[in-house]
Amino acid sequence: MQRDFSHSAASGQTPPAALLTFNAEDLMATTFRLSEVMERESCYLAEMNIPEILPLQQEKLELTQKLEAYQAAVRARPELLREMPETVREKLLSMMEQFGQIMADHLRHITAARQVNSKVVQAIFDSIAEQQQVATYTREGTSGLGAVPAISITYNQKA
Amino acid sequence: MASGLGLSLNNAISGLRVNQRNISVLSHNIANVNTEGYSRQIVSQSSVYINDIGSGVRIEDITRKIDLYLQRARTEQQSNLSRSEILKDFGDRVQVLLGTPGDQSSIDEFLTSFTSAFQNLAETPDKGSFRSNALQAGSDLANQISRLARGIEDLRFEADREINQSVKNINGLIRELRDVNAAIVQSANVGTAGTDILDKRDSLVNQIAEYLDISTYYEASGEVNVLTSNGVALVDRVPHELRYSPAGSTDSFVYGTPLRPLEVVTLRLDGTPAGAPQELISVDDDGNVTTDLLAGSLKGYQEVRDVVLPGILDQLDMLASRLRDAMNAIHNSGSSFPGRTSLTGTREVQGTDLSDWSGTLRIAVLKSDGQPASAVYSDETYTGYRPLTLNLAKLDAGQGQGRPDVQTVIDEINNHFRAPPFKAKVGVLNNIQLASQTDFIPNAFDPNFRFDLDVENISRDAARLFVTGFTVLDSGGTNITSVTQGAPTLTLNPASTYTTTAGSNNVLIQLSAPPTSIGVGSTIYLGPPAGPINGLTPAQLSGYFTVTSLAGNTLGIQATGAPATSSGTVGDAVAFAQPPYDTITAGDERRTTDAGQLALNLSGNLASAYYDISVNVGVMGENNNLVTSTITYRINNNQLNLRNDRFDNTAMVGGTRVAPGSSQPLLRAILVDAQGNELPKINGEYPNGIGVLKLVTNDPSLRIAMDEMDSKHLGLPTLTPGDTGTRRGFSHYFGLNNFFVDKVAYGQTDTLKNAAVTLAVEEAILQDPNLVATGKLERQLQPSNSSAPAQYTYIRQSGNNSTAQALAGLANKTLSFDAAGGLSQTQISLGAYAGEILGYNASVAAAATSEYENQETLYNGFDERFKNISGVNLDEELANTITFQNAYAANARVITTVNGLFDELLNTLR
Repeated sequence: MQRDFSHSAASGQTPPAALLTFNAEDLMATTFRLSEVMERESCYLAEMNIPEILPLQQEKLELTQKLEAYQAAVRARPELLREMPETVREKLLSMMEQFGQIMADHLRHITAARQVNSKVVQAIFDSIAEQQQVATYTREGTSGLGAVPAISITYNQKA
Repeated sequence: MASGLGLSLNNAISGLRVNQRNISVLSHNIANVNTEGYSRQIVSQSSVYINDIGSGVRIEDITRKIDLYLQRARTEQQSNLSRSEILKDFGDRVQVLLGTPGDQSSIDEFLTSFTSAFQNLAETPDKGSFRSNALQAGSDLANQISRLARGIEDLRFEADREINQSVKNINGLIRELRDVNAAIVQSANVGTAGTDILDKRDSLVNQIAEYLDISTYYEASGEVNVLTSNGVALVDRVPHELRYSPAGSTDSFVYGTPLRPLEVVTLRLDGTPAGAPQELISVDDDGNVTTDLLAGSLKGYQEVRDVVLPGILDQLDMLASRLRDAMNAIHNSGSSFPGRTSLTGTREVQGTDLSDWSGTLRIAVLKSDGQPASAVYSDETYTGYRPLTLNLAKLDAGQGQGRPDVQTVIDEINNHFRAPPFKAKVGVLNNIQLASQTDFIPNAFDPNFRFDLDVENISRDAARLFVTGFTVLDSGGTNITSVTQGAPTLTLNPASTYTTTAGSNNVLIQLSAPPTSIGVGSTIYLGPPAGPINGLTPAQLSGYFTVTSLAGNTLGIQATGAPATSSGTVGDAVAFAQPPYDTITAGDERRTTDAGQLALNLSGNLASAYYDISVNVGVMGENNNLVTSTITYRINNNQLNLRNDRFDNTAMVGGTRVAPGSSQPLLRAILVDAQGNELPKINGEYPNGIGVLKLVTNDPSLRIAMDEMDSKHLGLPTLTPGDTGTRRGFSHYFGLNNFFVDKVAYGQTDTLKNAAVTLAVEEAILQDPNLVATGKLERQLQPSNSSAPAQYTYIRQSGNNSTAQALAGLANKTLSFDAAGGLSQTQISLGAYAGEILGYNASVAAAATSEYENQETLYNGFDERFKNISGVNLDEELANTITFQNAYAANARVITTVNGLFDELLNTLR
């Protein structure tokens, strides 16, 4: 099931953390956008639509960095949060609680995807190993399958 | 060799054939797109090379491009998903039953209402509407807990039915799969094996995997063999069938009817079983269920039926049993107003059952206004009928004090409330009875008749009782007295001496040892010396004296005369001296066993028809007024079961012999069977049979009020292994005045198992709110007329709220709960434990939901791959691995960051 995530206000608008100035609305928008990204990733994982996942990583990283900057800012100056209107703080808190649910859902999907992928890879390895088994002669003169050869595979992540 | 043109044509034809076949396959795919288990058929094309020259593609086969590994993984995941779905489904249903804390239908709310109603009652214990409300709240609570437990048992029954239905479904699938296997073999033989039949095969395998975890292997022909994961064959060349006999109803679970095993039988061609069945779910002799099944809905239902739901029942049973026992402990300690005409126990006992007891209890028979039943003695008008104060710690059934059997307890109650006898009133003591410690006479091995005295002091004075001498006459009137006196003495023996001074009343008596129980000012009784002592007659030296001096083992008295001339020291071998035998405090009634056993040697005539035993007593009140009496008791010879029997006086010299105004017993203690009929007696006892204790007034207008006081059941700790008893009070132990009962059956009480499903308010209380115990017996000084002699008695006032207050306090009382159904052993209040049950099961349900979602996601993952697979690319798969790993790793940073911000926010909002 495809979902439309194109409405996000914060999409693609993640300034470098160093340039960050504290802005409650922006903090909420960033949190909201990150939630969207995670939800979208969950959907792609459920559909095993792997190619769509990769581009999300960069945005996820940028949004996280931005939130990290906000976190550092409020640690240094806790009054920034205290100065926020209470309604905004409550809303932000509620948003983060929902975020927890999204993350739990995401964790489930990515764990499942990893398990499936792991089993597929294992199946491939097993298949290759089986094909590479050669007939041997035993001391009794009968033929049988030899030991399963070790398979070495290297993979260039950047390729 | 084919020409170049021919080769090109062949290639073209080959390509056309492939395209044509592809179109056919495609249309077939579309037509079957909604068919369960249909796997996409993919035409396997391969280049055909002849002498290294490409000769075009040819169709090697229409095969299903199914990765067997993924198929197996999906099948396995199907089983896991089915199991977790069942656990989730039942977890959700349990949640609906239990509710959430604060819900109107949740047990913690019922508990709150219950304690609140008793708090109201404690404030106004004599208000009828409050009693009704408290009773209703108790009944609602019991019903809710019972209903919940019943609901859980219903779910167990439902799970069992599902197991049975699953067995039928699996058998259908097995039969179908056998047919499919046969069709595959047949198709293979004629070379027409198609994918449809193989898809059908796989679909059936998947459907079986929904029910239980299986392993499969495929023959070269394509037929599949199915085994359970622990190796029991379900589908192979011979027919197999699952067999199960389900439980008949929910009651089967409530009453613990053993479950039947789930078996796989191999069948002969005629359908009869061949060989021993193999059990997929086993049941041992104790009813314990075990299985090697790991997944599938069958495992899910079994787990729900035998593990999950029994765990919740264990928790409810723990709650119900603690509620029941704590409530009953308090309720039994008090009495209702105006009280019951009978109290029937719930514990099955035999007359011969022995137990250690400590403490005392009190039983009173009252009128409906809470005042004592009318006295049968003219001198007890103000006090009414005396209550029984029974010191269990002193009761001796021949096994030592404090270890009476049930029969002895019954006898003690009946001795008190039997047809009133003549009373021996001496001074401030209201009655002095002889209580036998000998069990039977004659006894060739022990000619002594051993006894103590049962004394009652209803005055406001402490009474000192002296026992100064005995006479035993046989039935012929012959004096056969041969005293082996057990009463304490000051051990005046042949070494003792009298020292007198001429002209002085002062006499010094040297004892053989320093006395320990007396001091200056104590009253002692001196027996007469054998003859005159330095001019003082035996009469002048015998009787009651005040100790005037005490130095070492020499005490001084003032004789009732003074010797004229003689001084000096004279020995005497006959006299004896005694302090008070016992002191009975004001308002106390008890036996004098602690003061020492009295023993009279009957060997002078062991064949006498009876013995008249006369006991010389002196009773001195706090004002030192002394009243002496010789009380005669007649003991018939050739008697059994004498121990603890009371003997009434047959004659008195001194004191007052008071005749009763009635000969009617007031109350009876008996053992009754399930129908309420008294068990048969032999020689006045219940030697056989099992029954429950019942106390019943003979006059239905009279009521019983019992105060457990400090009585405590201690079991039989000297046994190996030791039985430390129930630690309950008398009434609670016998279940005489329970508020909550187990509604299943007579004699079944206090069990942990099924405590919840059987919890109910006692039927009589349910019918009459006045039977809710709200208060206790109170000791009262009678009468209100201050000019009348002051005496103690016990009444029950309607406004007494001591028990109601204790019941109301139950809400905050810390109780001990053993580990049950996953909950750890803990010490908390009932309400908190109810909260624990709700919280624990909510988290279990949430975990089941989460597990289901995880399994579903995983299944979907395999299913998605399985459906989409069209070739496997290792590079792509490894790239995916890294993509997932990156996404996974990135999550850690996301979560850390958001959690950090969340904490900062929380801190500012605090």
